[in-house]
Formats: sequence, structure tokens, C-alpha cells
Amino acid sequence: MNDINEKIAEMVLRNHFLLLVLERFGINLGLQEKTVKDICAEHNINTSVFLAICNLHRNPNEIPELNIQIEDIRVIVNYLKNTHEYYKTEVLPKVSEQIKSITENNKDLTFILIERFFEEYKQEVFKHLEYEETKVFPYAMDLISSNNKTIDYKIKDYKNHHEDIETKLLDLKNLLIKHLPEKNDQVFRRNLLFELFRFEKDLRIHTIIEENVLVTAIENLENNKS
Amino acid sequence: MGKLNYIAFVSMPTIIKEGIMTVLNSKKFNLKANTFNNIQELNNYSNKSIFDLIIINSNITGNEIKNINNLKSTIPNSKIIGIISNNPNRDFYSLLDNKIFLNDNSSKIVEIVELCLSNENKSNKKSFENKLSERETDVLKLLIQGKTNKEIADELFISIHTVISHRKNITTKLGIKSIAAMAIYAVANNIIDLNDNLNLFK
Repeated sequence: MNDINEKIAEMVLRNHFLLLVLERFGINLGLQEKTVKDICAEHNINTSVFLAICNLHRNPNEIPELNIQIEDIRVIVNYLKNTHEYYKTEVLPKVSEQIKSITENNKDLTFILIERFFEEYKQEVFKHLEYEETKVFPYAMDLISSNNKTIDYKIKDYKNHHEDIETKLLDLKNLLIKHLPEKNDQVFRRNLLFELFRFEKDLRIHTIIEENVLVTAIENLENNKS
Repeated sequence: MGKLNYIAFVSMPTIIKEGIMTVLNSKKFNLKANTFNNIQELNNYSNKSIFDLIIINSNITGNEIKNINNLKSTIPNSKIIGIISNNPNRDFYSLLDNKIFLNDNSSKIVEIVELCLSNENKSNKKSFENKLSERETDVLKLLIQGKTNKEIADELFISIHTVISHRKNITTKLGIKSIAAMAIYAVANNIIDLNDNLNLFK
């Protein structure tokens, strides 16, 4: 377990996934000897929120139980928005490119189908992210910024809406690992799978932050206001 | 020592968990146990399919019961036992493969766990044969054409219930849930001829 007096650089050396966490909190590298406490103070981040999210990257099965304050919600929403940006501008286009690079040189039918499968999946993920960006995040910000909320929305709608975008990812992994016949495409498949596994883990943690941290905090706020 | 079995305890007071483990360890079982605070936590556990048996305390709430359904769909081969103390929830009750009552004696507990683990072994053996049966392949082909359960049932002269059960088996065997991925599976394994199904891939 990390603590607030630990040096952030040391934490990153132990777990390089934290590079993404820092980036999403808006913390730049050049960390020097700064501790969690120093950095969080510089960026107005609640240390327990920061540590809980770092900890999720170490062990996604330990769901954090946080006492979220109103000012933390803004930080968490920003964090989630930055994560979305990373998916939209980096991860998903990169996987698309990887798949295209094989279909361009090789007119293998199954890979053309895989390409289409992924493009459709990507659109679904985009739609899901957009829903959160246009409904859930503005609602959260509205709730913390005004005494009388102006957006007619309840967070339980989100819970119903949250469809499982992890399922198709698992389908794709199973196709690549088990079902597509053996071919001269092993390096390509390995690279693609590495990317998919990494995205899957990141997405799982992202979902936990949304469902177990943000939604819980918003529910508490809703209850206090009603 | 028997075969190693993995058990997940969910939302379980330590004293009950330790009690059950003491009873089971005194028998021929070879067990490894993990504990989870709630169903969600188990659902998020990446290696959850390792568990042969899941023992859940009956104090869980409505929301958690929904999560049990999710859990069952992702690890259909694991058996679920509920620890029943008082006022069990009807929905919870109906999801269980078996129940242990707090006043059950140790031989009853052993009997229940033995029963669940022996069932588990049978279904495990089945799942080694991952090839689809002829009927499952028929259902798969129609699913890919976008047919509904009702249409498939009518076409194959079987009940909707049977169609649903074939669908579940297809998903378990292939590890694939979406129709789009099933279509790719079918093309890659020559189950459907693309020339006959060109309209599907436009």
C-alpha cells in the first residue's frame, strides 16, 4: 500500500501504469523528489482519492471505499474526461491502424471481418463515451456547482445505460487466441492482443472509478439534496 | 488428497468462513479459499473462473442480487451456495444451487459441498468438448442471419427455451457473446459459406 510520504517517482518505477494516472491528473514528469503529499497539494488533489486510484492500478479487485467531498468530484470528472481523450485519440486509433496494416497487405477475409468488427466496436465505445461526456459529467458538475440543479437527470439512468463494452473486447480476444485458423500472422496477433489486454485492464479500472467512485458520490449528493 | 478446489467466500463474517473451512478441512477436501467483500468485487476479479464454488452470505441486498446474475453468466460452471440465516430474499434463494443453513451440522455441510463439487466436475468434463453440436451449429447459423429466438424455434421445430439453452452453450463453448463475433467464427471455421451469406457482410 502506498502512503502520502512516498516519492511519486519511486511509485512509477515500481508500476509504470501510473504514468497514465499522473497524466490524467494533469501531473507532468520531472517529478524530482516530490512525495504524494507534495504533488497532490500542488494540484489540489485529495491524497486519498489519488492513492485509491493508484492502488486500483496495482490491484483492480480492491474496490476503494472513499469519503468523496464535493471538490473531489470535479477532480474525478476531469480525470475521467482525460481518460476518454486517451482512448479516443490514442488507444482506439492505434488498434485500428494495427488491424488496417494487416488488411492492406493481405486480403484475408477473416481479417477484413475483424477490421469491420473492431470499427463497429469503436463506434459503440465512442457512443458510450459521448453519452457520459454529454449527460453524466455535465450532470455531476451541475450538481456540485448550484444549489438548485438545472439538469433533469438521475444517476440511476446511467446505471441502466452502462452497457457492457467489455464483452465484445473479450469476443475479439477469443477469436484471435482460439478461433482464427493458424496462419503466418503470429507477430501481428501478439501485438494486437497485447494492446487489447492493456486496454481491457485500463477500461476495467475506468469502469470501477465511474461506477464505484463517481456514481456513489453522486448518489450521496442526490440524497442530500432531495 | 482430492483434487484441488477453489472456493470464494462473499460478504461472509470471518467466524462463519473459518467454521466452514474447519469442517471441510477435517474431511478429504483439498481447498483454497479467497474472500470478497461483495459480489461486485468478485465480478471484477480477473481470475474468477478458477472458483468451483462460491459461498455467499444471505445478507446481500437487491443490487447485489443483480450482480449474481452477471456472475452466473460469466462463470456458468461455478456452483453457488447461500448461507441462510433469517429472512432470505426470494430472488436470492432462486439463484442458488444449494443452501447451507446456519443450524446445519457438519456432516450436512460436507454433504452439500460434496454434491456441488461433484456436479462441478461433471460439467467441467462436458466443457472440454468445445466443438459445437449439430443442433448448436444450426442455431448459430440462424443467429448470424439475424433471426430472433422465436423465428429460430419455429424454423427448427424446437421450443424457445431450447433455443436459449443452445445459445448459452454456444457462448460458453466459444467464449463469444456477440452475434458479430459469432459470424466471424463461422466464416473462419467454414461453418457458413460467405458467398451464400454475402448480404450479411455488406
